[in-house]
Amino acid sequence: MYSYSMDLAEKLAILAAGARYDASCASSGSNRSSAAGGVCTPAGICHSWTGDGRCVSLLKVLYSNSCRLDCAYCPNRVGADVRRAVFSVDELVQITKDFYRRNYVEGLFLSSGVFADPDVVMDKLTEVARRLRRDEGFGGYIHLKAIPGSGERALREAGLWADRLSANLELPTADSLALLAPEKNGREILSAMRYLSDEMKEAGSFPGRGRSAVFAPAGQSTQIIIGASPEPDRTVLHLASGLYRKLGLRRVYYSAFVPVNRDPRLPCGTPPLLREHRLYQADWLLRFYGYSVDELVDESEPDLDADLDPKTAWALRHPDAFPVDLARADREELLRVPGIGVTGASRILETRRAGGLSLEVLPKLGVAWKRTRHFATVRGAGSDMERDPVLLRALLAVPTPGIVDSGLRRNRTAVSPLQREFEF
Amino acid sequence: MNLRDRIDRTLQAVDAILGKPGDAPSASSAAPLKDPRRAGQLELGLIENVDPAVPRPAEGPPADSRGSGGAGNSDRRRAPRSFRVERALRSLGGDIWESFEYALRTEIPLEREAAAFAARALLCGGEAVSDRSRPEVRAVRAAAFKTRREIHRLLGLLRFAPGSCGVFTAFCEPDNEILDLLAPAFLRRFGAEPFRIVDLRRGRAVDSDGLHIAFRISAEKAPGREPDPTDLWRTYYHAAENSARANPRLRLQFMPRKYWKHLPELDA
Repeated sequence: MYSYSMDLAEKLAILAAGARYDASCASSGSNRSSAAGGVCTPAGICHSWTGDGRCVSLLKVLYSNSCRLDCAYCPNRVGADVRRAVFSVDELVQITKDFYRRNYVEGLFLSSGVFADPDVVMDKLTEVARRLRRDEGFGGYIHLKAIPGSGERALREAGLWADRLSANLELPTADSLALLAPEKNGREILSAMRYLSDEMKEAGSFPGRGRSAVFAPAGQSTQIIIGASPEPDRTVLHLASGLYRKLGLRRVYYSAFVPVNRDPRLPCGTPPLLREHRLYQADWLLRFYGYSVDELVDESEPDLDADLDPKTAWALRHPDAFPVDLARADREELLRVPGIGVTGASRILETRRAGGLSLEVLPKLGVAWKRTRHFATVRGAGSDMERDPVLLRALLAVPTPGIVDSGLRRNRTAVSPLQREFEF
Repeated sequence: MNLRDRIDRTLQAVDAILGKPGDAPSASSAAPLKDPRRAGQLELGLIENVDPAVPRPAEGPPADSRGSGGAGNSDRRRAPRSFRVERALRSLGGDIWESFEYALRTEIPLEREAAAFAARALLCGGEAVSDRSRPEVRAVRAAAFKTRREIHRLLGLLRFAPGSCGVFTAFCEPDNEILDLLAPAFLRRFGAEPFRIVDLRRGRAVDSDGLHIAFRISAEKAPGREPDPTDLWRTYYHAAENSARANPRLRLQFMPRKYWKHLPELDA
C-alpha cells in the first residue's frame, strides 16, 4: 500500500528541519473544496503544536535544501555543513496525501533552496501542486514559496494551483540584504510581490471565470527576519504597513533571528523572541485596532517598549485621552483602552445596550481588568485607579509569560549605517 | 443521559416558565411570546431545578410514551411541548439556539441556567441574552464556548489511521458531546472515502455512511500495528520544532495534555 523508500524518513527530517525557520504556517484565507475529498476552511486549522509553542498546520518542507545562494543567516547557504537531500515529486505527493487523510495537516507548504535556475526550481514546486490538484483531486491547502529570481511566467503558473504564495523579503532594507544576502535583490523581490499583487487583484475582479482562472485565492504573505540586521522597529513597521496597504498582503511574519552560522556580519546570542512578540502586537494594532505606525514608534523612540505592550505604552504617552468612560465610548475608543480587545469591546457594547454595564461586571467580560481599570470608568466611577505615570508604568510592566528573552536590544550591532527604507 | 432528552427537559422547563400550557406543537413563533414586563420572573432563584433524569409529571410527556421510553427505543416520541420553544428559539436567529444547545452538550449541570437563558431570550428579545451582567447568560455562554472550542480543537487533533476493515478511524475522548458536530467537516475532507470517529468516553461512534446514527460500540481498540505514515509524522513533528525557541507552556495552552493520549506525535 505504501511505497516509501527506506531513507524517506531521513529525507523528511532534513527537509523539515531546513524549512522550520520560515514562520508562516497558516492554512487560512481559502475556501475551496474538491469532489474527490479535501476542503479549505477560511479560518484555517491547527493540527498540532511543537515544543516551541508554534502551530503545525501544514506539512512545511523544502523540495531540496541544496542552494547556490550564500545568505549569511541561512542554515542551507552554499557551503554550509548540512546534509543535503531532495524529494521526488511522487514522494511529496504521497506524503501530503497520507498526512492529509490522517488529519495531521491541512495541506502542504513547499519551499526550496535555489539548486538550479530560479524558474526551474519554481516549476518543480508548481509541478508538485499541479500533480496534487489535477491528478489526485487534492482539495487541501497549498502554500508555495515564490523562489527569489523566478520570472513572471513561473509565478503565474504557480498561482494557478496554489492557495497562497509568498516571496520572503527576509531583511527590512535593501542595504541589509546587500550585506547579508548579496545575491538577493530587494527591489527584485518587491517587484515580484507587486506582480503577484496585480495578478491577485485581477483574479479577484473577474469572478466566475472558472476555477483555473483563480489566482492564489488566499493571497500572499512575506517574512522579515528580526535582529539579524540593525534596523529599528520603526523601519520594520513602516515596511509592514506599506505592504499591507499598497500590496494587499494578508500577513507579514516576523521571525526572531536564530544564529545558526558563525559569521562576523551577524550578531550572536539568543533569538529576540520578546521583540518578535512586540512586533506582532504592533502588527495587530495596525491591522485591527486603527493605529498608525507613527503612533506606536517615532524618530525619537524608534523601538517598541520591551516592558509594555505597545497599546499600554501608547496610553501612557497619552494621559489626556484617559480615563475613558465605558458607558459612552464608541467601539474605536474602546479598542484603544489597554486590556480591551476586539471581543471585550463587543461584549461591553452588547452588555451596555442591554442596560447591564457596571463597574462590578467588567472583570467578567473578558477584558484584562488589571490593566483596564487604570484607564477606564463607568459613568465617572473608577476602581483603584492609579494615575501617577511612574507608578502606573511600574505596575503594568509585567514579564510576558513563557517568553524567555535576553536578546531584545543586545542583538543590535553597535554601529548602524543609515538604512534607507524600501520605497514602493 | 441522552443529549436530546436533556435538551427536551430543559425546553419543557422553559415552557413551564413561560406558562402557556397546552399549546399545539405547531402553534406559535417568537412574537407572541415576547413580554418584557415578565422579566422579573426570571431571577434564577425563582426558577425550579430542572431534574435531568426524571420527567416531572406536570411537564413530562404523556404517561404512555414515558412508559415505553427505555433505552434502545429510538422511536420514542419527543415531548411535544418542547417544539414550540425550540422553534421560537431558533427563529430568534444569531447564536442563541446554538449557545443554548452547545451549553447542554457539556457535562456541566446548568439546565436551570439554560432554561432561564432561553426564557429571557424569548420574553425580552435576543439582545437580552448578550447582557453579561446576568449570571445565567455568563454560565450558558461560557459553557457554549467550551463546546465550541473543543470542536475547533478536535477538528485539528483527531488522528485517523486504518482500523478494522480498513476504514480510517479516529479515537477521541471529548469533554463534551460533539461527535455529530465533528462529522460533517470530515465528510467534506474525505469525499467518497469511508471513515469513522469513535468517542471512547461515551462509547459511541459515527460513520461516514450513517452520520445520523450514533451506535454503541464494543471495546474496539486503536490499531496496534502502526503503518509507515504515522512514523513519518513523528519524524516530521520532531524535525519541525525549533528548539532555540522552546516554549512548552505555550504548547500546553493550545494543546492541553488531556488530548495527547490520541496524538501519535506525542505518545511516549
